[in-house]
Amino acid sequence: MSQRDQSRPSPVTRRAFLKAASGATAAAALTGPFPASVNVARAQSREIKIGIVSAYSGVFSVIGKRSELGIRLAFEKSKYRDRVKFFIEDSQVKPDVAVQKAQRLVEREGVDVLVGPVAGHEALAVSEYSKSKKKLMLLVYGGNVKIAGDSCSRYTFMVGHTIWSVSVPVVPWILETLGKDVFLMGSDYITGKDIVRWMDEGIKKGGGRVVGTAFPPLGNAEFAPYIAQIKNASPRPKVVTGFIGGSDLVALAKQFDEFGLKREGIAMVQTIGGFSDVQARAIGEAGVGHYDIIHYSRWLSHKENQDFLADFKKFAPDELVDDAHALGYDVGTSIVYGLDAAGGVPDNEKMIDAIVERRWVGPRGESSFGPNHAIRHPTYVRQIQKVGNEYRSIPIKPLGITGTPGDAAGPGGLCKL
Amino acid sequence: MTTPALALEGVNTFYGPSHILFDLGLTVGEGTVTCLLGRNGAGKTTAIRTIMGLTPPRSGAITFRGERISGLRPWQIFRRGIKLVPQGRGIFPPLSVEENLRLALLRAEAPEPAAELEKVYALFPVLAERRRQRGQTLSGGELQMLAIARALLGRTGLILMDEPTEGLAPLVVRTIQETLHRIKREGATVLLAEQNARMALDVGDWHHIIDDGRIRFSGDSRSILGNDEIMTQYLGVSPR
Amino acid sequence: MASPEVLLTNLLYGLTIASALVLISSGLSLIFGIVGVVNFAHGSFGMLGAYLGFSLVMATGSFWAALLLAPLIVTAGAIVMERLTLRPLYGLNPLYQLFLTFALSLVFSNLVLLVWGGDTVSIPTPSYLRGFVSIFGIAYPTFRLFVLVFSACLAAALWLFIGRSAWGAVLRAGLHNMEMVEAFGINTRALVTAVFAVGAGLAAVAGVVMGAMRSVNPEMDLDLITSALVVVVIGGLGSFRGAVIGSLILGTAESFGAQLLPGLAKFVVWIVMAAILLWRPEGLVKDA
Repeated sequence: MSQRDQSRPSPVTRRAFLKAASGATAAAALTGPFPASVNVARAQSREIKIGIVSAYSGVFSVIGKRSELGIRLAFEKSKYRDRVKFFIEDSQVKPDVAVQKAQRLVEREGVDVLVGPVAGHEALAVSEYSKSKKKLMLLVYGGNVKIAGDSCSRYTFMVGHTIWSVSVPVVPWILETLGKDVFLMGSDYITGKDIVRWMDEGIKKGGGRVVGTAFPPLGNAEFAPYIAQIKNASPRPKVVTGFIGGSDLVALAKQFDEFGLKREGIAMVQTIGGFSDVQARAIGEAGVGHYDIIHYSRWLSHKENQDFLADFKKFAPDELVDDAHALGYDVGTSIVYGLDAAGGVPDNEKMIDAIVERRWVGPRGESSFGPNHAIRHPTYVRQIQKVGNEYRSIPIKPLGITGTPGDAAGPGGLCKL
Repeated sequence: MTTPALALEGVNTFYGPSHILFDLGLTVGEGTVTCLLGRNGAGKTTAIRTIMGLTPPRSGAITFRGERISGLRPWQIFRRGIKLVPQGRGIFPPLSVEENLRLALLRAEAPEPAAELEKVYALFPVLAERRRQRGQTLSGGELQMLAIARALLGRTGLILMDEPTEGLAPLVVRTIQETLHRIKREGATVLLAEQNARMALDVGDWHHIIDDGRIRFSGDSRSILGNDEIMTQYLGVSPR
Repeated sequence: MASPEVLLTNLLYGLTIASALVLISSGLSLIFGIVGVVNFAHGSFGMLGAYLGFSLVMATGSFWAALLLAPLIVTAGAIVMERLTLRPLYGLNPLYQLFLTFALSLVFSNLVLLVWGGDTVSIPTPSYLRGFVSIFGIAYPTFRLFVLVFSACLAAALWLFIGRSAWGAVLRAGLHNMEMVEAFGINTRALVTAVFAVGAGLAAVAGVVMGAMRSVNPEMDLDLITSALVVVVIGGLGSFRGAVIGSLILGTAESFGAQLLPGLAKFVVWIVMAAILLWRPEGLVKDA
């Protein structure tokens, strides 16, 4: 629980030290003093410094801690486990702080790879910085569509998702399965507004009808007036969807039930994995039956996810694994993949060229990157179900593989790389 | 005079950095009305506040009936029977007359609160008439009566009165003066801080003249009335 | 759009929120009234109450245990906090107290993150309070009605206590002149501690009912303190009646604001506050 430490380098183990020392000696014995191969050997045995700028204070600190564990697990399983050294910085979810911390990591600590912050605006700011420094950066969250679009960067990989890739792809399923009359509700800030706008377009294009729209303020805990709007909408919606941020959603789901909308049979569909297992547990009975869209669930049965969960159980037995762990793990394995391709040396250019070609089956399923460096991941519709005494968010329908287009018609504009 | 009810010895009091009372020493005899006479700003109110513990002394000793009370907090001093009739009356304006009285009774160790109330209502019939009225609706004289009435409730060993006639019309001053005489007859011990020398010399048994935070003279009424220098210099009264 | 049913629903909803706001804001207001401290950590009491309430429901399965015990635990903690940290600062520059209580609110929010993690939770309500009650033909959630009645009764009891009882008179006197209360034999340090403790306990009660109606999350301390500050600024600092009136105004402004000016709900509240401040800068009510 000492996650608030500014930097926590892993100690260099004795084994790593001996390995490094013997490697250098052997190379020197073979080729005489100071040939080029000594430098390679040195480079191959030197520390690999990973700088993480993430949320370690405030509400988002859970995300920072969980994704960091995922990254650490990936390295634990790699051949770099003894060479890697992590440098942790708290971005405080503020763009200026995030850039300043990234700068410190790159310019003072000399980190080889950056892992970027969680919120969209800070991710964009740090991405601009990493571009200027030609420093490879991978994003766990920070799903700003601009980074997949006109602000894309050779040095930035969006490993998690964009807010587009885990929202809009659910629209056809909604219209087909739940009904054509939709009420849209978005938290009153950029993410909520964007998602509602995109979904509005998608619904109209798909032959559905938007019967009402509401933008409760972010941090809103009282939805009674908005629920009154839903009740008064004519015709009555079959579905309420959109994006309501974090803890607001718990209040909404409870009041949705309290005021009888759920009993009426109105479905609720949340985007960006709003109904995680943790949220499902927080909402309890009131949430059962609601849907969301996301790329991961611990209840996915494919082998790679089962292996991942088993590894996590050994690595951090007390963790309730959720998408933050899985995304962190994908970030970690992507860095490891890049290192392998670059011969164990953190040569950023070589790593980038390799990572962009990476295709793998991870905890989420089949994954790869688009030409704009935005992830292509499987998406699922999940539903909150009660299993025994537990509330779980269980994948009920795969929606195929989604990426975020980086063309002129894409949500973030044209990406030129 | 036997052992004094109240004794101050070498008391120094400060307001922040400013030194107000200098080695103040005075006594109040049991069953007497002792006056603290002096002009505005001479240190009368500070002396009263110091005794009550509201502005604790930095050095010196204050004893009440042989027990040291300097260093105690005001509520502890109150519970030893020392009652304050503060400057400006100190009535709680949002409270009714009766609530003001009951508040003063709460910790006054009165076995029969109702009887105590009747006692002061008998003394000040006007308060009985106004018992439901809020403090803020009373006249100056009524407020002063209420302030004195509060001090008479329950077990009272010493009453500290700070300028009870200040700002009152001459007729009302007379009433207060009569009240003081009555309290005195009933055997109360009073320390009365006053500017109104005529009234003080009429009611008081013993007087301490204070100026610049120091006691300049102590004596009975006659010795002061006979001392023109004191009358003019410290009390601002032209000798008759 | 604004049919009578909608208006009535909003009114009921506004009253429910107002009644819970009275509980959270009265302690803040009274503490300010008697010692001049704006306790920035007051919202934390609500949040701690909510989290403790959550844990208690989980442990005992009883909502009533949470509603009773969580406030008691918070009260005990508040007594310790007041004695150890605030007491030495009374009478000093109010900035010190503001810094201290702000720092304490950060300590409490990190304590919550440490103990309960950053996840949002909510307090399950008893099943028999989950249905609906029909009020003038409107189906109103039973639990909300319970919150309305329960909070209103608590507020009324507090009102009667302050207005009618001997110790209520002491409190009203203290709001006016604490020194004089002390000079009449009342240990005002203990009085301050008591008011602080009761205020914290009421905030915790509000936290539990809010946590059941809404959610329990590590940011709710800020929500609660913001609402409470708005209430006391509207109603007048240091006045229980002001807290009641401020709560009614804030509760109804929020509910009708969201209905009539969707998207501007929070904005409406600030406008109402600004208007009242321009009209009566000292707040609507002066005395207790």
